[in-house]
Amino acid sequence: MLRIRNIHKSYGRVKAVDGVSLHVENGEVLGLLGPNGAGKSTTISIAVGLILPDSGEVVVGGVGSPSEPAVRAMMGLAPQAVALYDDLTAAENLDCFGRLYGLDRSARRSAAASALERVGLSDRARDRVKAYSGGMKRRLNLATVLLHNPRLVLLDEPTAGVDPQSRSAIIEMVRSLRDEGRAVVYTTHYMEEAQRVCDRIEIVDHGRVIASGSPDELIGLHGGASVITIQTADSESRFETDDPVSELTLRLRDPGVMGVRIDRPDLESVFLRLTGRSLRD
Amino acid sequence: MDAVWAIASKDMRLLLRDRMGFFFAFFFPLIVAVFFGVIFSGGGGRTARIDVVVADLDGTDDSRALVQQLADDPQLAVEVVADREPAVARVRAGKSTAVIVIPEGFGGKQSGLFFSMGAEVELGVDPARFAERGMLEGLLIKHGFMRMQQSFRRPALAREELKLSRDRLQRTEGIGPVQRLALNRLFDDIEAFLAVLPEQVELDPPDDGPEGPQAASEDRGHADLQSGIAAWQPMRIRSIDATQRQSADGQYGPRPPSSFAITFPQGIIWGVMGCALGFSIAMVGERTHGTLLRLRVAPITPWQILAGKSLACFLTTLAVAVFLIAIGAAVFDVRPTSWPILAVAVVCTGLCFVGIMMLLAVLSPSERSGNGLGWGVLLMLSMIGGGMLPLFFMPGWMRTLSVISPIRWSILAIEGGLWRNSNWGELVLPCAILLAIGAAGLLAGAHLLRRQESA
Repeated sequence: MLRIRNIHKSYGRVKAVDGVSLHVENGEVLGLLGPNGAGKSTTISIAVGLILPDSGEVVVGGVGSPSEPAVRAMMGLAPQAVALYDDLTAAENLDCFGRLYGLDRSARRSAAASALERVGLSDRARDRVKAYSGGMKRRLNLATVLLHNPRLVLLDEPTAGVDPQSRSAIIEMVRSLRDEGRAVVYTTHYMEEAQRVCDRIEIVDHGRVIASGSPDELIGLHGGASVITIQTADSESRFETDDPVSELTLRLRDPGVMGVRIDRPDLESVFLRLTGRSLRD
Repeated sequence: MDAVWAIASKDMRLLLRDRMGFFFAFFFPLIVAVFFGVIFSGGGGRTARIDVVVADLDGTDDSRALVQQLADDPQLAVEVVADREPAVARVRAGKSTAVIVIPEGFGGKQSGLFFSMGAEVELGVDPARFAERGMLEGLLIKHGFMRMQQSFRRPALAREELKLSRDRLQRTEGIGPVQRLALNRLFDDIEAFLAVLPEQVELDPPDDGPEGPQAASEDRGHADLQSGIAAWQPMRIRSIDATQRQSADGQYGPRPPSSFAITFPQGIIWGVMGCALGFSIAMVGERTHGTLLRLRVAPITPWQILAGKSLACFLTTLAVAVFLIAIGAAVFDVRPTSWPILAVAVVCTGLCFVGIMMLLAVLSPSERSGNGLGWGVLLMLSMIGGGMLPLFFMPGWMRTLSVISPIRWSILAIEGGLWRNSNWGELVLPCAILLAIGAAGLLAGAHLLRRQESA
């Protein structure tokens, strides 16, 4: 559904995107995981045609470049900033955006009702957006993406600044989009989210893809061993092991064990091993 | 086209929801038009008079006659005081526009009409009111000539003046014999002329009749001619209406403009400026809040986005103009002389300010700076273009500079349809300039926007 080949983009001496290639298929959630400033949003902007790359190619739906308006009709973008008109109601916002995608009045009404129900805002349709909470605005931000039934959905940090309840709702919605057969590109710097929702992950740092694969593949290849921490009365010991269960069983035979902890590798440790930095740095 | 209309209708709906923006677009201009219309009308339909304080230090019949003449002048509001200093102090304090001091000895200098330096009065004018200085000097000269006229209407008085003139000539040294001889001959001729005037033909100036002072002056001149005396004055001034073009049948156009006919075009301009500023700030807000990104990601072209934004601004300026014109016609009797001319003028003004709006929006990195930049630019253009102070108050170099201001051309075009009774040929230049400014602003703005977004 989306194919990006070797795109480069520089701003002066800063290389924002340095030879990124990726693809995402229908019925799949592709995660772009990386710290702030890694080049995720720039990649998304290139993918939707907002920015022209210095070099490389972007093809959407096997049809053409996103710089063409007809190609952009196949895509929906939920930008990182909540892009809504505060002085309009939710229904008015959706109606306006629906018209931009060429929907007639009846189609707009049913699409808006469906989208609002999906994000749990049907009862707030006639309230102005400025009265919404941050989580509600994020959900409405997501609803605008679904109006025109796009085959490719791009979500740029969709849970930024959102309460845990809204975050869970958004993640569930993303999964349902995938289950409907849509292609989803999901950018985040939250490792836990990426592990929960993404089928494949591209780890991005300094404008480059430094690793890609499913979460389990990445952890298996780059996560390192599990770490078992054994606490006794007067000391604490740490042991790396690829078989934490067996190792733990062995260690528990030692007398004086007062506490144990198992730290399994995750995407955070993957990023740390690949870059020497934490995702949250 | 639906996408363009979707963007335009959304922007206009947002303006309606913005109470402050709506007020400044529609009602503030109306307040401006009515407020200044009332001021310029004199606060009740009467022409504003010049406040003058007169200090009569002479106290003679002649000085009192001059004071009465000034008090009777419909262009002056006269207050009489006894001393010089309080009169000057009033002007210094800004309580009066001018002071006229009739010095001691004024009455004596009135005599010797045909051979004297003439009576002298002192005139002091508030420096901020330099336009009134010329008017007051003209008025005083007029009153001086009026006194000369009266001398000729009363032959006995004129003969007395002549006698005093001869005596003064006799006493004056330094006049050459040839010149003295010529003057004496002149006096002899005048005496002979006065001798043939019948004493009983004392032509008192008639009161202004029901047809007004213009007609009364004409009657007076005619009577003077019949008596053998021309209404002696160096120049006669007949008023004409310079605001109306005479139509082909010899009749003039609609009624003369009121002060509101002058202030409502300025009010329309204030409304148009408010619209341009409001929409430019809204466009900056779209950029900073991210909604412009949504528009750009939608399957529409950049030109459709710009067209939608421009259409919203244009339609709102039209609505403001129609609103003010309707109020002006219904309440203040401001009737356009030509609806087609006015319509074209309003359309060209709207298109001009759409271009200005686009340029301001692109040049502003934030809403706050957009507000400052917009008001700074528009107020400056308004100041030099006659949107605040009429052009005739300005010095020559500033009037020359005003040609760069779209405000000047907008006011000229709208006035052309509202009360100047302009023809299509006279509308070409202002409208061409307005359209050129609008096109330049739109193209420059679009170009800069694309450069910014591709950066």
